[in-house]
Amino acid sequence: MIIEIPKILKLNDIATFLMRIEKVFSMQEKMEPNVIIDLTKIKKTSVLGILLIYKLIDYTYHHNCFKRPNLNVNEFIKKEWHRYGFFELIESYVSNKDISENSYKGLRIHVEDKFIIAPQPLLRKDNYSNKVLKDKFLPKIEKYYSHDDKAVSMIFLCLSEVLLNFWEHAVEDTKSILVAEGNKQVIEIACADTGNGIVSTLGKTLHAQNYSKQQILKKSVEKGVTSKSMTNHMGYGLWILDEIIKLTNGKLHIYSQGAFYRNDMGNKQSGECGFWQGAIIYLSLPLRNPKTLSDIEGCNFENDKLQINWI
Amino acid sequence: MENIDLKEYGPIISDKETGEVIYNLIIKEIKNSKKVSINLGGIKSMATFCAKQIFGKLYVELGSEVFFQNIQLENASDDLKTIIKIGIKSALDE
Repeated sequence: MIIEIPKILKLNDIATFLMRIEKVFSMQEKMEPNVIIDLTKIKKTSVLGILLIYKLIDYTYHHNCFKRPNLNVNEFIKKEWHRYGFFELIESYVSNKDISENSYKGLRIHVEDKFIIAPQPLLRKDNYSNKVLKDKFLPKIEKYYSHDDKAVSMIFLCLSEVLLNFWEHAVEDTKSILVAEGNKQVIEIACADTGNGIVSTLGKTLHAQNYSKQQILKKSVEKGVTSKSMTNHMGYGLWILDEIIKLTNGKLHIYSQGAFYRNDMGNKQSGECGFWQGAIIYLSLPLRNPKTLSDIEGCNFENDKLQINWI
Repeated sequence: MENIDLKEYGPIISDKETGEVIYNLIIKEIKNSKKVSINLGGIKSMATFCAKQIFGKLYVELGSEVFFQNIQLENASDDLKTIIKIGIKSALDE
C-alpha cells in the first residue's frame, strides 16, 4: 500500500490530502505490512500541511496501523520539518526512540523576519504545556507585535479560545498540537488532534435534530452551541473566532470526521470531505485592521446594568 | 483589602484548571470577610469559558451588590472587561 501525499499541501489542498489518507483511520492495530508513506513529491507546503503530515505519522505509529512502514522523503520536506521544528519529532518515530513529550522540550520559537512557534503539545496531565506557552511563547508573540496592542489583543483572544477548545475537548492520549507562524501582516494558527472530533461530540447534543455531519460543523460556529451544556461552556469559542475572521477578512477552516467548515473572508461554506479522526482548526488572521470582542455585534455592553467595580 | 495579582496566571487564561485556582483564591478571601482588589494588568486575554467560571460564578453566588462592594477589578483592558461581562451575563442567563 502506498500513501502518496500531494505535491502541493497548501491550505486549499487539505481536502485532497484528507481523501488520500482517510483510510488510515480505519486501520487501528492492523499492522499492515509493506506500506510506503511517500512524501517525495511534495514541492510546496504550509504550516497546516506540515502539522497534518506529522499528526498522520503520529496516529499510525501510536495505533499500530502499519508494520515497519517506509517513510520516503525528499530534501524539501526535510528542510520544512527543520524550519517548523518537526524534524526531531519525526526522527524519534523513525528511530523508535522515546517519543514522550520530552521530544518537545528542545524545541524553540524562531524569531527572524517572521516567527514560528515550534509544535507544542497541549497536554493536560501536567502543567508543562501551559507553562511553556505562557512563559516562553506568548511573551515572544507579544514582543514581536508590541507596536500594535490591538493586534496582540486579537491574537491572544483567538489563542485563548483555540487553546480552551482543544484543552477541554481533546482526549489525553490524542495529543493536540499547536503551531503558529506569523509576520507583521498576518498570523496563522493551526491546531489538530486525533481525538473524538467535533462531529461526534456535538452530534450527541444535537441528535434530536438529525443533522448531517456538515450541518453539525456549521452549527458549531453558531453562538451558544456547545457539546457541554449546563457547564461553564457557553458555546462562544468558535463563534468568536468566526466573527473575528469575518471582520478581519481572514480565514477559518475546520475539519472533523468527514466534514469541513470554511470561512474565507466572510464567505462561508460547509460540506463533506475526506475523514479525519478528531479536529483540525486553522486560522489566518490579517493584522492590518485587527478586531477584538468589543467590535463584534452582540458583544457591546455599554448600556448593561451589571454592577462591576472597575478601577 | 486583600490584593490579588493575576499576573502569574497570564498573559492569557485559557484552561479550566487555572480558572478554578483563581476562583478559589478569590472566594477564600471573600469568605474571610475581606474585600479584594484583583489586578488584571498582566492579563491580556481570557477564554470566555474562564470568565464565566471565575467572575460569572462569583457574581451569581455573591449577588450583584456583594460582588460590587467586595470585589474591585483593577487595570482591565476594554477587551478584558467585555470578556468578563460576557462571562457574567452567561452565568446570569442560566
